[in-house]
Amino acid sequence: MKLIIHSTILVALTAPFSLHASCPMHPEAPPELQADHSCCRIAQEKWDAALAKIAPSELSLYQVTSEWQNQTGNKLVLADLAGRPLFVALAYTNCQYACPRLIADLKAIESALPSDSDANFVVISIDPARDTPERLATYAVEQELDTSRWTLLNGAPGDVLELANLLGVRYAKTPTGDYTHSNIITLLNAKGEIVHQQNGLGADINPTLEKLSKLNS
Amino acid sequence: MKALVLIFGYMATITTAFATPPVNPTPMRIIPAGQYEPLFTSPDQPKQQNVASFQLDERPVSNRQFLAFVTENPRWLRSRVSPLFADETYLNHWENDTQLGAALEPYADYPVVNISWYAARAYASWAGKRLPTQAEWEYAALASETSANGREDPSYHQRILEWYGRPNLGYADQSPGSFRNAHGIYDLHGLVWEWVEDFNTSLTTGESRGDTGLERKFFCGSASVGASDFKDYAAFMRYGFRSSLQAKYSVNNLGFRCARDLPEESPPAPK
Repeated sequence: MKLIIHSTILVALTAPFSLHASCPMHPEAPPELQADHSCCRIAQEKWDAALAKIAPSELSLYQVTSEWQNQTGNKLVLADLAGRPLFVALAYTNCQYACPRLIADLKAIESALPSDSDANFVVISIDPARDTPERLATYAVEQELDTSRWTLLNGAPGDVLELANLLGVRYAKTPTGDYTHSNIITLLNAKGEIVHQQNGLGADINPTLEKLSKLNS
Repeated sequence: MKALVLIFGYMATITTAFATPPVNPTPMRIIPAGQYEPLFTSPDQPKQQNVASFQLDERPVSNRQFLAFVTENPRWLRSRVSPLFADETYLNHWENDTQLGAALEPYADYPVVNISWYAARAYASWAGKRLPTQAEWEYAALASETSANGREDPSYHQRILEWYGRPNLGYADQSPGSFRNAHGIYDLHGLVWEWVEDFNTSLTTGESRGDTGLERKFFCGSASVGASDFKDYAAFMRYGFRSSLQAKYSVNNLGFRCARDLPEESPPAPK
């Protein structure tokens, strides 16, 4: 109720600026949902439901409420990925130098996994304007990624930046349209807590695998 | 000039007297499209960057407004916030989770400080807005009282530097409304520093964890850096301050204000 009152006041007062109130967070939501920001409430409920499935933890990255699209165009919140170890990296598909090597490092981890491991892989695009779900699907094919295990995510630029800050990854767009970025592979446990970070390209994957095995035991 | 400052100070006092409405959305101003000269550019980067027209809050978000936000969103209460999203000084100038306290009450309409970047973003999203980008903020802040380009006003940089040079007394340092620029935006300088969306994308230092400087393996390419205006010490200081921050930091003279895109088909500005 409180939320609705607040939204109404907000809409009324900003009406001179925006006759058709639109929600910057969910611009594709139906206009009637955007008008009073109930699109945000629905997203919040979706996130609450996903988070309720795991034991709450104050250090879990799954507290992030942002919405993402995977390579098949399905919408999800990060908490939907909970329940198993996850290797996470930020990259972009037009990258010529570091990202192919970063993906190769992730693949090296994948091929070294014990056969019974349920660990999954997530690559988040830092170039969401070009890395549409369609582009990410093509990239998954090009890179021969097993999409039962790999998820490629597209999100709003600010949400990518938020996740990058949580992971300690920094990136910036250069005038050529490329990105400079740190090359970090993060291992999350089933609750979404950071348990290990592998820094730099071509790093020794054994410490990472050891951390993973401790999670499973 | 002094008279002007006094008038705005007086107006701020009146505003403070109306303590009743719990949520008072900040009026926004339309900042016209223009060009901004980034302080740091690489040799192959254009010296001018276009900034599209956008809306910016007239004032920084106040203690009272932020209180309304945390009350509606309990996971941002001081006692409940995750250590991932805010450090231990988060809102530590408030008496408790939901009360400013008698000491702070006179400053309820002063900018809220001691808030992390994550919290500022969450507030903006709750208000149906967003944080301004660094380019938007710097472009809007380039305006002096009389000109959209303060660089044409020699005393302008000097005044900002004098503010930077004064010991900062925290949230009560100066009355809100003391400085209104040519865009009609208050207190971009003189009150508190402000978070921007992309505060840490200058990449003039190494990555934010286990930082040992730039190393080829850690970065894809490296930012070659050249400054556009060596006279603009104030901008150097802002860039330096921003790149020293981490997103979970709460600092006692760092607040924020919100921005918003213009609607797709912008109606004519109200007269």
